[in-house]
Amino acid sequence: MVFSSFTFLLLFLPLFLAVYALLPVRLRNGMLFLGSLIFYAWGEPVYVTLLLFSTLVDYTHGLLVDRYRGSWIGRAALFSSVIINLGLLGVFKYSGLLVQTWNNLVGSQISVPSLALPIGISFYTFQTMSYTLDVYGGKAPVQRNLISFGAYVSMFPQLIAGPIVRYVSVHRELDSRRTSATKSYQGFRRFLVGLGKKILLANSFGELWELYRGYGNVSSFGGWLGILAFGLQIYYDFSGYSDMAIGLGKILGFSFPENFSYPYISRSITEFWRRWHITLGTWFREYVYIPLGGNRRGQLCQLRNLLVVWALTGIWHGASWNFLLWGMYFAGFLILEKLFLGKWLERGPSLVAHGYTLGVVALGWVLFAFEDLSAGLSYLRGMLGLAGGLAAKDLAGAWLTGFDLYQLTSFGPLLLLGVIGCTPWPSHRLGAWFGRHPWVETLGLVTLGAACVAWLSGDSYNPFLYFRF
Amino acid sequence: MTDQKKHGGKQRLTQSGREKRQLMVLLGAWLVLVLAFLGKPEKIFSEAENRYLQRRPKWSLASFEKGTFGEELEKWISDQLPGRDGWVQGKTLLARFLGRRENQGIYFGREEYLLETFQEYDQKLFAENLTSVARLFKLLEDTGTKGYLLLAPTAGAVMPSHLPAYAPELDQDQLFSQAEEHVPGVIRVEEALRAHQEEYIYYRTDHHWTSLGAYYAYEAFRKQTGREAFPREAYTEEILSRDFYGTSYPRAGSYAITPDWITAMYLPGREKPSEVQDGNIQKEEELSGDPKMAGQMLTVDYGNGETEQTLYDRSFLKKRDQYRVFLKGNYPLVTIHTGVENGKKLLLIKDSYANTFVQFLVSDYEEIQMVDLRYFKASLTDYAAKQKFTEVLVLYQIKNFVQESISFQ
Repeated sequence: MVFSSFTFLLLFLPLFLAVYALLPVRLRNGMLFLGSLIFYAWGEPVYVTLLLFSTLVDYTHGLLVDRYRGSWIGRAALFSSVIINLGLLGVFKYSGLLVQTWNNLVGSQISVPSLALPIGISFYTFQTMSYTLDVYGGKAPVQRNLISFGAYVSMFPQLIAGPIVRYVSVHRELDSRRTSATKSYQGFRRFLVGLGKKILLANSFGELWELYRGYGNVSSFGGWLGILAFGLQIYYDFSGYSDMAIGLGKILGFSFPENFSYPYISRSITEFWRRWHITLGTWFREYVYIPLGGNRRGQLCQLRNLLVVWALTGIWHGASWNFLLWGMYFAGFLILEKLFLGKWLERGPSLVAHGYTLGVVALGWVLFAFEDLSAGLSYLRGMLGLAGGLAAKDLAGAWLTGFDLYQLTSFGPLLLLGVIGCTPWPSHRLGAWFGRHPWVETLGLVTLGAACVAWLSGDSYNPFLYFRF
Repeated sequence: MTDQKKHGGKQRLTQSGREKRQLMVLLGAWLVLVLAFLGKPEKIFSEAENRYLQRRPKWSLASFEKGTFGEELEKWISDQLPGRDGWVQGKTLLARFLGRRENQGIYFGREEYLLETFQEYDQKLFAENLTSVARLFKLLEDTGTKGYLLLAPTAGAVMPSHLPAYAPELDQDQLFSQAEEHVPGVIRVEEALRAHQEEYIYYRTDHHWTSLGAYYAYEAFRKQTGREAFPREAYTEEILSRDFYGTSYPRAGSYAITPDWITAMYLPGREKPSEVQDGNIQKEEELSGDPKMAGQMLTVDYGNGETEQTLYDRSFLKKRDQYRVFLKGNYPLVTIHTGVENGKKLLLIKDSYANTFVQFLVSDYEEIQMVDLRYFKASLTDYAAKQKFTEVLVLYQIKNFVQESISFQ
């Protein structure tokens, strides 16, 4: 089930919240677990068993780690948990890529497994791993209640698209949490804002991007317009989901960590990655970078650690080599910034720093968006005004076409809204203004919800064209 | 100090009280929608979308595992949502407000024109269709049948000034030229139509041309085949409807727009005007035009036992798809005996664009057989060879012609 569906908004969520609110506190984790399983099974009726398996594995491994703390059994349990989780990821996410690559390299004919990727597996395996690791590291107490642990792993607000909630950050709320009208109101507000980002903005930008991604020869302007659309789509989609998750968490009494903090206003790539998908960055820092020694064992070692972390970050985003390349691309800039570029950017005019960051990120999105490298390269050529076919036909078309102008006018106001929404300005100004006019805010939220329902209805609008001919 | 504390505490209390009420408003609005949905009786058919709506799906483990239950449930809610048509219109309005220039393949054009988009096409299918037509013409030529291909342009290609600025429309003229290169006997009507682009030649809420548009195309057809057409003034123009909403209307989201008029064009005496007459309709008791044809009986045989003495079925004017007033819509084979005695026999292979075009053809042929390939299941080449037609006219709107596979067995 996805949040931006009628099934979720008009059936699942109201029903779930009604039952949840009526139940006594001690039964609520059970309800959360059960509801989350239904939520997950809706999209993955078969793979829900995988989720349960992962839950059981880490539950028992956590107990073992705790029971045999300090002995080899504890260490072995930790090791085994990591192996099993990575194994799940390896089999269900990466096996196709690995076999395919192996076939290409040595010319073998091993049949490529075509397992459908279980929804959210990259998120929940990382969460369950964090639990065992936190218990091992003594950062969090062991969870003896299977239901509570199951509720943590499967928690539907953030099961599918994060944020990645480390066990250490929610274990207290898992056992006792408070809800209030204020928190619920704020939670609903956050949820609606996220829903609006997803339905009204991200989906529209996605539509625009689709117009360009399949376009053989993009003009330079069109190429940049397309990648702007993609950058906005992925930001509003992902941050919208995070907002919805955080909002739902708040309604249930959890405080999930923030996942985005205006990434596009960054002045360096280092800053960008502190503001983009924050919980993933934190995860890799806590469980990979620091255990590897971080920056405390000399520059060479730090360099190695950075490369490892960014290779993993890249490939985490998808089972395709372009994601690895994308990770390494950022690693390159991060290392340059650590060496000297960072200081230069700080000293230089901020316009240059913003331009550099956005440019690097935008070109990065080209790498990210095209799993087929040659398609990405041809798109890139278009962006640089070198589109072969177009340039040969008419030179002006290589820079700007009527198609681009049409899309720009058709999507212009939304793009403008999208760009403004990437800065803290509207949220600060609107937040302050709504603070003084609280009822206008409530009315605005109702309107926003109605706009989302209308948009969803419009998208499902499917008139039968009785005399198409 | 205590005062301040008290005051602060009170403020906090009122604030949390207010937030509670704010929460109630949000939850209330939500609950109203949920309850309205759950309490609403199921609607079976949507007038606006002209289709059956999703009924509540039946639960079964098998359908759940396949995922069809989930899909149907989602569709059920969106189909049965109270005020669905209103929500859909709201979306269109919002999208327009946000600057969008098209919706569901329809441009929001100027002067209340809703024009269908034609931005890309299947080159291979187009080439294949042209080859089939050329082959058919070649085959029929041997039996003495002359073949013509008439591809009607979309409204956007004829009246580009009504399109939104920079609309990325295909160059349809290029397609017509390509057709000309591959098929002998191509009739080009786009310039003839463009010469009248300020007139009411396409419906605003429908993708079809009007009777007047069809007339100008007919005029070009006659001219290019070395023949004459009756002048426009020779025809009686009877307004059949003043409240026609065509297919583009729901696709563009059914927001307020002035309805279209449907006009019939026929030579005086060839059709009986509607019983119920509007004062505005010009009534011509006197027969003008070709006196030889006056009073000659026209019969339309729909091939299913239905025969009519007219090209118009006015009962459709009370229904949703009023365009079907012209020859009832689409049938596999419709035979028209026009009452004209000149021995000419036309095979018309067509889409619905031809249904208005036939109004003018009936004065030129003794017999017209209209074939809709989507429903005509017999072998057309065998049939055509047996029937000994003098002419064959393939008439499609260009967008239909590049979208549907056209082949003749």
